[in-house]
Amino acid sequence: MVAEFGIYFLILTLVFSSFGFLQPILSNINKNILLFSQEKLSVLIFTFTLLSFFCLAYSFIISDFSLNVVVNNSNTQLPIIYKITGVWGNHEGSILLWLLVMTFFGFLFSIQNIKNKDIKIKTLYVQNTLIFLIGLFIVLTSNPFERSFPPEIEGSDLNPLLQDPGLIIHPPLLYLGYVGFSIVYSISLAVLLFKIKKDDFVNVLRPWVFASWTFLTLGIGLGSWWAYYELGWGGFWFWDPVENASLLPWLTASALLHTILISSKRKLLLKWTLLLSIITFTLSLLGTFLVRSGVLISVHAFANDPSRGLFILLLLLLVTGAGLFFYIKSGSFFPKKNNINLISKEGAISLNNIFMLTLSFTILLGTVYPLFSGVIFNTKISVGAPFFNSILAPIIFPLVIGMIFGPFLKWGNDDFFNLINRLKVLLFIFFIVALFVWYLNFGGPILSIIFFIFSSWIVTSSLFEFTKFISLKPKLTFKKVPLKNLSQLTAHIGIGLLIIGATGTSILKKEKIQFQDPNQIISISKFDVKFMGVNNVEGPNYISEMGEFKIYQNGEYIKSLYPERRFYNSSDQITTEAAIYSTIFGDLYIAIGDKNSLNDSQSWTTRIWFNPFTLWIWIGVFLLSLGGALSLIKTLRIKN
Amino acid sequence: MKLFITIFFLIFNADLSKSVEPDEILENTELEEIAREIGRNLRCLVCQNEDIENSNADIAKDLRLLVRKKLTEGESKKEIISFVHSRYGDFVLFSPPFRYDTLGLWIFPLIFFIYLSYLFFRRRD
Amino acid sequence: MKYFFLVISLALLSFFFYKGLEKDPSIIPSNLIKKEIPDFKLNKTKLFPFFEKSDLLESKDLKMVNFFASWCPPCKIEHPNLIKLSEKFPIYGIAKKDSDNKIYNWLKKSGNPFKAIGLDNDGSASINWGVYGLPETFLISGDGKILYKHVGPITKKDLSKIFKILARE
Repeated sequence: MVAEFGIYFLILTLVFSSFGFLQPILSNINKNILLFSQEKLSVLIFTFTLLSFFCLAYSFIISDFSLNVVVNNSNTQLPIIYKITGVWGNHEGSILLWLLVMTFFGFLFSIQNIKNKDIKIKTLYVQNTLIFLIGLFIVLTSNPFERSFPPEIEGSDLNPLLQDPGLIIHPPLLYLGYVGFSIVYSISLAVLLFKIKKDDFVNVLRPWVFASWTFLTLGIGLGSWWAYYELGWGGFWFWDPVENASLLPWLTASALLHTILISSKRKLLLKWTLLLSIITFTLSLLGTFLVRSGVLISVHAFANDPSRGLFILLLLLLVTGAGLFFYIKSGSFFPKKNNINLISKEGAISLNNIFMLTLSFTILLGTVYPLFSGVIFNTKISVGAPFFNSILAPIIFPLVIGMIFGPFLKWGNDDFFNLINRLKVLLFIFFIVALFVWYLNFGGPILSIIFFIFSSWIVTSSLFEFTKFISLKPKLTFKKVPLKNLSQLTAHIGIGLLIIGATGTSILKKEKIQFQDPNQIISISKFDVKFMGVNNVEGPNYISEMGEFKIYQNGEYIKSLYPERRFYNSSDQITTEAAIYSTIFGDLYIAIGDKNSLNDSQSWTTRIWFNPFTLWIWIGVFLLSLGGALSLIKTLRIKN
Repeated sequence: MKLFITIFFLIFNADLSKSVEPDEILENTELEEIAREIGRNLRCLVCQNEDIENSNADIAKDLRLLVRKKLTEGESKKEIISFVHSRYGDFVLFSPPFRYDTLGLWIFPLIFFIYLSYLFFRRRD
Repeated sequence: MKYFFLVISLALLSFFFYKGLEKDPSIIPSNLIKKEIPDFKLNKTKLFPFFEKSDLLESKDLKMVNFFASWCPPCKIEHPNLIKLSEKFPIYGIAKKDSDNKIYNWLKKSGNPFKAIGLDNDGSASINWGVYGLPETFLISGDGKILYKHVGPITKKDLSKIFKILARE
């Protein structure tokens, strides 16, 4: 019964969102027709989608096995929290969550106080049309309320890999990011489509760009963290097509963040801002297409269905086509302002854009190239981590250099020698820092030393700029520090720490793989790891082999770690739960394997890693999103 | 057919945790290092986008052992990779060979970069 | 001009993606098609006739090489079809990581389609043939060239495909 309500609410969403495109068409015929105000529609649409989502969540909670999605992705033994997260642990439910987030953003936008009513209404036209299209996709190809006949008594299980705290919030956060860009797209398309010739659209756009970017950053970071501790390989980024798909809009959005600075301050690159907005959402959709259509081989295998793929492809074509068509059609309706000088703040931001987009384009190309070459040349190639790592380095370096010097450049026109002259002190500090870093890593791999030097330069230059700014204004209290400076400071330091963490974890990691006897001690980095044995522990829906390890440092006991291997009853699947001891110098990471079968000894396969500075990755991601959040607060403050 | 293939992959994909096993590791740490390097460049054929070093599949284990055996017999990294390539085709290489059909992977980003730089810094008078 | 460019690039992109939807990305083509059969070494079984590379080259008729194992469930699915095929031409079996007894018990129960069987204990023969899963089947011409490779169990549908290739030869 509840499921019927669910589909009913979904259809109501569909009906009301259709006014997004019906209204402008009808009012073209007769100006006096006004069926609903778009603001009120957005509230209604959000309410109905939320109700529909609740219906699905309720079906999962009571384990209503007359629904296909529940049968395939839930189980009576499942702890209640995973019954709820099971809602978005599958294609149908997650796309409903996607729709919910989309309507939520529409709702937020509709209640936002925006002076330019014209932009507001027209943006909602576009947003509601997008909602209609996604809603249609759900109803036609991915109905979560489909009944299974006859009803089952017990469900198969939620994929054990997804039964994890990280996965409770990773998808919602990621979707808040991905789908948040739908509003950014809607604003931009509205500006182009209805030729709103006011450049204050940038101010309407800003908070949504910052908000979505912040969520996307957190979402990707959380996904990476999950992969780090759940997959048991000690890595955090695998260049999987799905990871790449999330990185693409993040890169273009990061470019957009910076461009918006120029366009709001100098009224330059206004059309470029619109184009980036359109591309960013397009890439979010493309990611969805790649993941859910099964055209690429990826770790994140969703149930694949070609008809879904076809629908998303059409949707993608429509959204991209409309965006680019009206972009071209609008011609040059913003006056082309003066040229951009390479040595200037605009120049640095332009370089940032060029490299960010080149990186994004290259990752996109690498991800879809196997598909294309298969169609054109009938070959079957792979493009994986070695390729992506090799193209990443030459693009990262110019980006980092821009990051170090960009903030010190003046708007309009600056002079290279003048800059050097101004930064004499900083350059001297750089020299000292480089020597110090080199000394600390003496004898280490060259690449890691280079990366460490560059990243510590990012941190020092950011701090230097900030202290210089503070010292110019002696009366400044902490509360009055402009958020713009603060957000740039945190975000850039975040990137610096992220690079340090990534370098340590990927280049300097140490590894010990062995059969370890009980009471045997393995030394790695500064730690001694003593294996105590394995116990069988029973969880709610799994049995686990739980190893016990005692960690010592300089002969002193620190703590015990309990890595597990879980055998899930209902799906016969096995997951690894690594145990991690994090310190600021690095993570001690232990995963347990099989019992040694060769002799009748009590030894087990143990994999022990020391991953230097991994914690810094997560701190970096946190600072990045904090920077985004500060920018968001700042833009919202201006409004009021 | 698709169903069978799915079943057949599922059987090999039950456990993500297994990768390099202790008894596979070579005594000679230098050779082991090269073996890892080779392994990271070879794709596990039945897995979802994993290299053979990080995969539990049967075929990945066989390939790991083969790589190490050939290394101890004195073959070079290049020889081993080209042997595996000759048996399994391009799909097994994680960094694609430089060839007419893969040229685009390097050329297009370069064109894109140059065009974008032109767009930003061209002089309009 | 700009519109033309937009339309063309979007059309091309959607064509590629559409084509991609039709393909099954998990099927990997063999790199050995039209090449001579590779070198390989097998271990003898106690209970079945043995074969080596030279045996495959000597007989000038069509033949099949089938990689199987008694522990592999999909191999059991294709078994009846293999028996049907064995009436047309000889099938040589390569058992991967398997034991004499287990093979014997299985084949005694469900029939033996193999002219000869060799054991691939360490999986090296499988690698030489570019085999990545079980079962996999190779169709080999009279002059010792690989004509066709089939991945996964041979179903009834696949039988007609194989007969088509036979008719061409």
